[in-house]
Amino acid sequence: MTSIETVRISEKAKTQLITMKRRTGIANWNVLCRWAFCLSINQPTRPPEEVIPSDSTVEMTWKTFTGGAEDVYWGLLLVRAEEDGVAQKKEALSHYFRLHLHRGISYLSGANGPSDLPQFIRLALPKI
Amino acid sequence: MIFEQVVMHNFGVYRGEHRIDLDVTPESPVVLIGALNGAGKTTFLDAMQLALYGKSARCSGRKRVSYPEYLESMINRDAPPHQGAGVEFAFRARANGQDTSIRVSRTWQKRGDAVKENLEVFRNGEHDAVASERWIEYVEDFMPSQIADLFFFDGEKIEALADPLHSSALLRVGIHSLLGIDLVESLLRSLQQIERKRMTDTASESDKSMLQSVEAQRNEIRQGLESNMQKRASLQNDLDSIEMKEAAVLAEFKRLGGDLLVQREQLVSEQEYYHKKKAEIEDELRILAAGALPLMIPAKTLEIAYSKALEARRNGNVDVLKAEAESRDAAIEKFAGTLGLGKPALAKLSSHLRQDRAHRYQSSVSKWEISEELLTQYGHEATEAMGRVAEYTLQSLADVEEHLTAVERNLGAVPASAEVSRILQETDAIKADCAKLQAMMSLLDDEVAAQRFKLERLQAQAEREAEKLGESLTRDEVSRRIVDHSSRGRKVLASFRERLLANNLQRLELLILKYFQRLIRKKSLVHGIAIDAESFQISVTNLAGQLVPAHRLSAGERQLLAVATLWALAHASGRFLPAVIDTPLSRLDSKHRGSLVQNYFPMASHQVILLSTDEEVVGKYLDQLSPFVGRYYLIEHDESANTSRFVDSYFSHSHSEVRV
Repeated sequence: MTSIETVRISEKAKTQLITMKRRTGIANWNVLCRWAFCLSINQPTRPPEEVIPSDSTVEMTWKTFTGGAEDVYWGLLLVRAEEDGVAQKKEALSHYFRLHLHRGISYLSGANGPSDLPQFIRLALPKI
Repeated sequence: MIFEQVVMHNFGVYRGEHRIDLDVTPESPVVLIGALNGAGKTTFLDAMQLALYGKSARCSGRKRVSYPEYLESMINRDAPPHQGAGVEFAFRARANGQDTSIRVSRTWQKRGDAVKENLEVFRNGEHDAVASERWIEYVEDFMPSQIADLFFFDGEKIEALADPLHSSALLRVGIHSLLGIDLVESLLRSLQQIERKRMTDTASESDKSMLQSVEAQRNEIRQGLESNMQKRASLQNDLDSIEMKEAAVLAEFKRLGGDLLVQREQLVSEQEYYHKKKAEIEDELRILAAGALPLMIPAKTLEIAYSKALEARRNGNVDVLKAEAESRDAAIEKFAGTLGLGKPALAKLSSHLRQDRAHRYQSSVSKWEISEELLTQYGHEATEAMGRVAEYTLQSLADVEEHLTAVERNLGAVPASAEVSRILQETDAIKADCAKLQAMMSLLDDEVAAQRFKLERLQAQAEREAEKLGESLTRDEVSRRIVDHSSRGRKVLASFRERLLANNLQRLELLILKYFQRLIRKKSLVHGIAIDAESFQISVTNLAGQLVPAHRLSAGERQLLAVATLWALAHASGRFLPAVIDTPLSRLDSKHRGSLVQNYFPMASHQVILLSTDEEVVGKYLDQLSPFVGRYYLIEHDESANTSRFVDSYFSHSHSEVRV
């Protein structure tokens, strides 16, 4: 059972995602969002509270976002949610999810983020 | 041999054609020809000599004149120029057991400044070309020139022979000629001829000079070749230095990256290739990115999630039980409602059941499952594998990028074409010079090759000429040997001749004695004849055995001795030649004339041509001789016809003609 049905991106995040598109040549929002989410989930800290508007035109279904692996990504979210003491409620989880996603997008497009496709890929590989 | 006929044509005083038959019989062997001095007697005799011996004929008046001049002078003054003159001599001889008639015809004409002579020989009436050509040799078989002299004599010769001062020389000649020594002489002559031929046959100067000229040519070519080789060496030096220059320019060209310019196209295409490759690899990476790869990032969290999922599956039963309990509790609440309890009690019951249920059946917080498929697809192993692929692909990308960088670096190094074109111009100029030098060298090589070829040929030719010369020199060697042997042979022959002479002298002495005694009246005067082998002096010994010196004999007696000598020589020669006697009696006194007429003339030979003036064989001498005379001729000069002529007649007793 997944509670989230739609993923919505803020305008700010959209700009950031465009930057990433440019840098990596990856054309799909969902791919970039997946990577962003994974990055944030991997951070041990809880994403700070933030008000994230859904003011851009970019949105996608959970299915699209997860690329068909809905349960896997939901599982990731639940595990962290428990660790961070987030209530098992639909609204709370949905918000928590959005916090992670946007934190990930920020990280990608930030100064420390990958500047090209190889660096991007390397995010997933063990550091040599 | 026997004379048959003499023909004279426009010869000397004889204008036109004159045929004189001379044939005789054994009983009447004498042909008596009378002629006054100057009538043409000597000319007649000359005709015979000339016909037989040509250039070497001893004709009167021939002393200081060349042969062509002599021939020209003997053409009759009144003869038409184109006819020229000629003499013929026909005789019969025995050759190889057969009688052969030979006719020698010698004619000549004046042609411009020269005199053309023609000799033809007819054998038995047919023209014999070989004999015609080689008459000088042939005549020696019939009438050897040396001997002819001794069958052909005149009064002067007799007198000379009678003269003790000259006789020995004449005798020597006569003996040599007649005693078969002529054969020896002939052989000696042949040997000499051979020697002479051999000596002129030596390696001619032309052979030597040929070799020299070939060698000179060869040396010249050799020099030319050497100079060409030198030229070539210097050309080679030039070529080498140019090639060094070319290398230097090429190095600079390279330094400026000139060769890169040339490679530019290649580099560009490489660049394109690597760009394409890079794009492909990047696409691959993006495909990877779109897969499960990002899940490798939160690996720990994923682990926890998976284990929780497994736990949830395990806990799936609780929910079923809880659902069962809920349905049971609902049934219980419904039943309790029928018991008539009050509402507060029912509410307490419901909440209690609920709490109990909650307490009893604690459902996991995670209301989420993960399918087996997903676990496999996105499981640890799968993502690990994907990671390896990603690693590998990244490496490929790095390699390609490295190549690309290199290519682009090279492309960047490509210089401005302006600089390079300058170098290219220089290179072209050098190449042109190089080509020119190489062309020159190639021409030189061709020349050298031609010279070498010529040199080989000349060398071969020189060797051939040397061989030839060697052969000539060998031939000379052979010739020298032949000459050597020949001269030794001649010496032997000469000594043979001496012995022959010595042997025959005795015989000759006896013969001379015999004939002399026949001729002289004082038979007792002479008892023996001796001829000195060295000096050929004849000495007469008397009965007492004393030597009678020659001057003790009278002039007439000496002349008779001379005749006897000639007679003896003729006899001793074994040759049967006719005798031609020209006015022999003029210097003899009458005493001795008679002796000759009676004892000698008829027996001198089987044919005797006797020429006489009107004061010699006339009168009683004529009477004495006439039984032996076969033909009479008179040579008279015809004033009106301006020619001399042979007439069948002779001097009469009274100087008037006698028809015989």
